[in-house]
Amino acid sequence: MLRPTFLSFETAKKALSASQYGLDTVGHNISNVNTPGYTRQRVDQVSISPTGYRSKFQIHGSQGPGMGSEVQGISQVRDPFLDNRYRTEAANYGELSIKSNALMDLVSVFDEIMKDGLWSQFGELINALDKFKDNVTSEDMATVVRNYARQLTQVMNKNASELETILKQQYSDLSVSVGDINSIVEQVARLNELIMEDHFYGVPSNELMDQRNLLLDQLSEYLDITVEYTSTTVGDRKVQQCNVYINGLWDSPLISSGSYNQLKLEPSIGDGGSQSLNDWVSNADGCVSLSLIDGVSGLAVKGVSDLTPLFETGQLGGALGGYVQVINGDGIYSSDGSSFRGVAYYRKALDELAVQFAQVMNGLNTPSYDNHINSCTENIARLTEMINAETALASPDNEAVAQWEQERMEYLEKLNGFLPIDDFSLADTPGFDWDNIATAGSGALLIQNGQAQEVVQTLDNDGEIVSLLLGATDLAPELAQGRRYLFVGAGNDPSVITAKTITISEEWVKDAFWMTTNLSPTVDGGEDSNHGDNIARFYYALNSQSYSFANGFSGTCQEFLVGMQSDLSLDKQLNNTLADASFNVISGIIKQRDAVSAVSTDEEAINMIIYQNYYNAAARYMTVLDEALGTIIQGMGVVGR
Amino acid sequence: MRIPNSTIVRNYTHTLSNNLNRLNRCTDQVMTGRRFSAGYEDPASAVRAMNIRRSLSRIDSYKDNVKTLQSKYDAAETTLGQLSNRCVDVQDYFNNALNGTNDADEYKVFAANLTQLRDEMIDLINGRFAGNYLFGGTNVSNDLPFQRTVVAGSSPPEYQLTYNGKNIFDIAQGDPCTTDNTYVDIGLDMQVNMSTGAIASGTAFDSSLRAIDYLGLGEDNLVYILDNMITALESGNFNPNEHGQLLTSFQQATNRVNLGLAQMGADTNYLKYTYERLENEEDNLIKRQDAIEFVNSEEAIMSLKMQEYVYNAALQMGTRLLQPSLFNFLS
Repeated sequence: MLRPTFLSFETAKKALSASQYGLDTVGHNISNVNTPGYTRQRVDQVSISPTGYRSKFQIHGSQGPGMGSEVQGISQVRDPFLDNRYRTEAANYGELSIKSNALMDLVSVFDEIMKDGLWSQFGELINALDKFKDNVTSEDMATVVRNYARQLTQVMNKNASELETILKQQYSDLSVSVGDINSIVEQVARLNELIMEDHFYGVPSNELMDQRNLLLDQLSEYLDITVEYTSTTVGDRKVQQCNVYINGLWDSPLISSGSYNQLKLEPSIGDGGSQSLNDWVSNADGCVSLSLIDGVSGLAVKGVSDLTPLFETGQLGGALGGYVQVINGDGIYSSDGSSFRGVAYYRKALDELAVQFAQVMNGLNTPSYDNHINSCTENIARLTEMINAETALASPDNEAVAQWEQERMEYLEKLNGFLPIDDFSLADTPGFDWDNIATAGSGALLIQNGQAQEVVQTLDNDGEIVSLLLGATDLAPELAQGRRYLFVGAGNDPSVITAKTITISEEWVKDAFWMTTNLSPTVDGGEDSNHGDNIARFYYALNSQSYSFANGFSGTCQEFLVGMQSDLSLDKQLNNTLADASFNVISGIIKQRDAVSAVSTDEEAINMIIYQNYYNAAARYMTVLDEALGTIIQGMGVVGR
Repeated sequence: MRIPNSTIVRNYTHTLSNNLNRLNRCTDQVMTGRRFSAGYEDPASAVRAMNIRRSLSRIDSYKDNVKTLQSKYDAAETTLGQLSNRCVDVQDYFNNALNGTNDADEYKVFAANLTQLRDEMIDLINGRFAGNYLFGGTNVSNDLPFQRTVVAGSSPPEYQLTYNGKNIFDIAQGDPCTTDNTYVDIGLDMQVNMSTGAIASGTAFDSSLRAIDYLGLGEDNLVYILDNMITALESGNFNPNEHGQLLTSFQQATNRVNLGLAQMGADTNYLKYTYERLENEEDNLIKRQDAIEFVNSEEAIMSLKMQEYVYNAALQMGTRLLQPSLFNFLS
């Protein structure tokens, strides 16, 4: 068996070079001890088998020692499983912290533990009404009540504008985030191309991979993503390819190697298209929608209706999910009634309170209107009953008929007093054949031009007359004219009340006594009688009367606000707890990840000593080889000279 | 497990910030004396706190109402007391007229005295409190509630007595002006019928005082009897035997005033007890509010000190955080 003379020099050289790589890597690691996203690197060293191992002309039985070690490359120490765990939890934490901030903003609008707000204003108004009730002739008290009512509407307006400010802020944050996401996505796609290229040429590309991982970590705070590494063949080489998916959207990857999609954000109202930002903010149905478009061509990849619901329902988390839920979340008002209670919920709840409050107060302030409704309903029912009874009278009993007729006349006259009827005549006009009325329908009561007409009254849920049809004529507008409105919306219009626009009516501003103080006629006939039973109704309506709200709540206006604050407190508390828990999980994962990938200076110092010694040893080996060879060259064959 | 440098630094920063948060919370508690400063810090207590605040605000209002009522009833009691004194005077004068031997001129003097007393009594019954009539029922600022006026077109002038514009002979028992009421909410869970506006009696205090309740209606009316006395004395043919009946009637009418006075005493007492009840309730609520909303200051300061100590210890740890590494020992 032959041994090549200079083979071991090669081994010694490789050893020297490997220890130098080792020292270089130690230097690189120490330099980057504080670089964000840096993954510690190590030298991939393998031993080399003896020459000719498995070669064609190998001499059997001539296996010598190995040929030292070779540095194959510098690689990263990183655990992809921990990366995935981190990214899942980061999305969760991102969502919770966005919600937490938004809830804090809402708390600062509604929470009345440390400051006075709408709830306290209701209290003030109730106390003022209590005083006014016992002293309805006092102009001072009337003015005080009006002032508190005005203050209440102003606080409501202020709360509504604060909500709009929060909405604007959230929208602007969201659009910055979407911009950030799109920029990250683009950068990752570029890096994907560079890394693939490097891998193709056999360059490890560790630093680019660090960059990519850092960007993916950032992206995962915004979005629920899954990162997938596949290998693909380019030419005759296998290279690694990186794809990023928004969870659930497996058919349209966010990033697929070098190509990518972009998110598109639009303010919309209801299901309608995009709107100008100002119109959008002032509309209670304003929400945001997201779609996915191709990064290069800008063509739609996933439509608004595919993508937005995923964020709205909380199926997709991340900061983006947080923003969409905060902006679009209308809680019980949503179609499934279970979405997050975000800004939209509180806007709708506040609007509902404003409308309910105004309706109650306006209704109470026109008691005669209430009487109209009650009397109309009652009289119509009674008359219908009588007509039916009369047609049912089997044999004409003169006495009974006469009694019916008399009673009917009374009711008709009552009705006549309530209905503004000019061109209608009462059915009991002389010569009218009552038997005919049966043919005109059970509700027929009045005749117009000799024809029996049906009276049809339609009330809405709040007992307001929607229409009062006498034949084809709607008397509701005429009825409404006599109404005395206390609270109105923009343009002194009582039909368009929102929390933003509610204010006291112009009539009330001009006349402190615009509130109707007496319901029943006064005993002494004097106009300034201290009876005040209608103010008692106002007082009772606000202090004790329960109302049903569309969000399922039932109680007084003040209780509604306490309920709202309590919902908010519970949401905020729950969110804080979850965010704390999530933060702890993330801290744990980061710790684990650091344990694997971060640089430890002690460890590097040890490595440095090892590599230094290794280098010394290799150098010594080289010297020994040199001396051995010197012996052959200089010392051998001297004897025969 | 490897402990790289970054883990140590991150752990320290995290712990320090947690400590600072807790310290901040303790400082807030000591400075404000509050257990929580926003609803979400303790949602259950926050809701209870709001309900207590509402009750306190209502009780404040009830107390104010009761105070006002007390003043009004004090004034009314005084006025009725004076009325009662006048009645005694009337009886004395009339007794003298009945029992002595007087001539027509002396009767006229009695009549003049009684006229004086009658006018005083009418003034008293029309008295005001805080600008409002005391005994006008719900009439607080219209025409005088109780009037003695000339019947229009009568000659010689005939007089009529009216209450709130109605002749006292035309007012039947149960007439609206004998039952009108001004209910004041004094915390008895006032119930209002929302369609009629009627307040359920017993759930609020009726503060309406009506002159005719004390003076009487028709022939029983105190002033009417007094008028008859005066007419009899002025007539010139005053006959003690014939007119002695008037004194009896008047005494009965006086009883009504005294009865009213007694009733008013009972009402004043009731108001006093109500006020005390409200104050008790307020005290209890404030105690509960204290327990729910506010911290025990000793405890708060203790935990602040404790937290301060922990924070300082953590800061001191900071100086030891970056321990020398192996590099420091390489030579």
